Amino acid sequence: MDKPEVTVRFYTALRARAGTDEIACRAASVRGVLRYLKSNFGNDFNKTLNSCHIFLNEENIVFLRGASTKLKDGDTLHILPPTGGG
Amino acid sequence: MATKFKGYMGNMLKVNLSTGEVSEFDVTDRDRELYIGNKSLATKILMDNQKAGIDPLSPEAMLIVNTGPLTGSNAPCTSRFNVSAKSPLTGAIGASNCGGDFGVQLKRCGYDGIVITGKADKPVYIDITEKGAEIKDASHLWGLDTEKTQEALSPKTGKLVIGPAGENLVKYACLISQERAAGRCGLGAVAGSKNLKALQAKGAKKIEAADPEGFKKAVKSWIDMLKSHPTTGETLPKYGTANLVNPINLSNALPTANFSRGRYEDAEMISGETLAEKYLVKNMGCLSCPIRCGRVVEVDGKQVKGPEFETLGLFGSNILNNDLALINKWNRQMDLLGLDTISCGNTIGFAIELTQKGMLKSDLKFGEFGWMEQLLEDIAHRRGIGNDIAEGSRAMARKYGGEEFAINARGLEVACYDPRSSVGMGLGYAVSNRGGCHINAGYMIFMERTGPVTMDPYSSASKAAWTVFQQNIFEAVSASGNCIFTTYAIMHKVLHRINKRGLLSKIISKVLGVSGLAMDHTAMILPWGMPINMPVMIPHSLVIGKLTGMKMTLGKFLQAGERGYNIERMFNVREGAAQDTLPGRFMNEKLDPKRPPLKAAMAKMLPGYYKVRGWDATGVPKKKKLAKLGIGISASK
Repeated sequence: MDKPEVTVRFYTALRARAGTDEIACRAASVRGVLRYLKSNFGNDFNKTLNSCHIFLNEENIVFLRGASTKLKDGDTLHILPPTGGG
Repeated sequence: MATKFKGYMGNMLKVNLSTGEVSEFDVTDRDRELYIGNKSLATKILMDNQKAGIDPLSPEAMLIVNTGPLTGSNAPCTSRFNVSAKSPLTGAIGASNCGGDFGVQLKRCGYDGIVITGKADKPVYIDITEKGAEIKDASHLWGLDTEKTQEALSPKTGKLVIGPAGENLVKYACLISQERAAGRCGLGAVAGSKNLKALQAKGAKKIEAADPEGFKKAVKSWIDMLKSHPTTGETLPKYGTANLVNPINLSNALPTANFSRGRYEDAEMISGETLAEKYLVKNMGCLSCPIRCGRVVEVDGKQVKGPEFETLGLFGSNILNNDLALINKWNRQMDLLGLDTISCGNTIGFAIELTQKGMLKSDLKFGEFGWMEQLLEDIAHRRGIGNDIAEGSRAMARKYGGEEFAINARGLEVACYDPRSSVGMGLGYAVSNRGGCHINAGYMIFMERTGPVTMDPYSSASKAAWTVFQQNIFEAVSASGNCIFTTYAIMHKVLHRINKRGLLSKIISKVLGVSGLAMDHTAMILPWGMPINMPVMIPHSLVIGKLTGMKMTLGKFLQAGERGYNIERMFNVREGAAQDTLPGRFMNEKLDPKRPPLKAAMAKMLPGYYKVRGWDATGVPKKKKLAKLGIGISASK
């Protein structure tokens, strides 16, 4: 059976390093998406990726099961570097 | 009066607009050491020299424009100067700092500040040079917007002006210097009440350093640090404060439809990324700023300052507007009129909900904005419904009802972070001396949501101690004449490389969650508990020491912030403005049905906060705390 297809959205510096605002990929868990991203983008992207906040749809994955959080078809992962402003 | 400290010019001006008298205002070196400058020192001056219970728009009220030792020193991000008075919007301490060029020019004239009292019998401006200050006729400027006013004053001077909103005593009128605003607390109305349209300054005096070589070296490494940091070297320069729209929206904290929701489906359309992609002409910075978070956009064929995050939220999601071009335009219009965009946008959101609920008769509506440009003019000129909105959300609620969804704290409209998704922000808004200000609150959302290491945003654990720490350091940074954005580098760039999904990140999060007691004890042993400087994270104290010649340490610096926060609190206690509450919507209505209402966390955090602060159960600083901080023992005259 195919793994779920999910949308992955990038923000600010990560978007700039990815060269796109979103991609689609197939993965069973957040960890699977991270593995896919690490093998498909460059070093600069990966360095930033490590420190990013990740939301599954509207929930930060720290309130779910972290990288082990399971995905389903149509889910969206939002990946954001730490930031500030005010 | 001269000073033994470098960095300061050693003189302050006193101008009485009723009598036309111009004189010197004395500040002691002891007060410089205790309060550093800017907002903290200004509050000390207000406490010592202004009667309790004064009407902030009366001639007797004082308006103080002052600087810190770092202002104009060429240390990074140090164009910051301060405007202070009793706020006509809140009745509490009013202070607002600004990155325009007035403060630097004021110091080049040889003055650290100016204390203004009285009321001129016709519109005037104050012209400051190295020879002193002159009160000049401004009849020809009255009625002009902030840009035309600055254009009509002398070229190449630093300027600080009000627009029509200040002239008409709009309770959240601001002052503008270049395109930068001293935005909050309605201090433009205090200037307007004195018939004071503008100040201008031009001088050529040098700001000397006590240890020029040491200062230069410390400044260089500080600039390098800011330029190489992910937040101050990349995110803020590229995306401005607008970068926060998406993360705050995903955090369920982006005010939407007058704070009735925390997520806006069109957030991407008003985000920093969209601003950068579609509208940004270039970025810009205040004088001596390597961060350059300012946006330049084009409005009506002219390159002008773009909106900050707060404006994007309060004129975007909070009124259900997804058209960023409109926000650019309104932002420009408000700067010209001299309106604080936070209070203005927040109060308009409230007025729309009042209308929606049938409590106010108006044409205002979420999602449709044919009325907005006219309404902004009407607010600034106090016409029709604009006259009510000009009073702010608290006064409007007293007239029309709806207090539970009038989103202000201490009468100041809350900024663009919903505290139900960041409970530390809730505590901060409630206790903040100037009211619902994200900065004066301690900006805990950075620790709870957006920063490189984070605490549980729904837990009350350790939030009191961290809120106190953040508030104190922001206070000290502001007092010194430095921009608080430099504090992002406190979270060293190494922390931005930690794997968020790794063990270390989890350990740091857990440790932060139980660190309250340790933070509390660290605070208790200031200043001697930190007799060092830590330039790798907090260069401010080292740089102040090199500049001024003060024996400044990190401990003394943090304690100066604590002292400033406490004297502001004492000002509010004296003025009967020290009630620490939040609107009913925040306390009782849930954003997330799975979470308890905010009032549960507030009930735990508030007593804890008072305890950490050394305040009594009603939030009044205890005598022992004041004595330890030396509040009340020095003598400004």
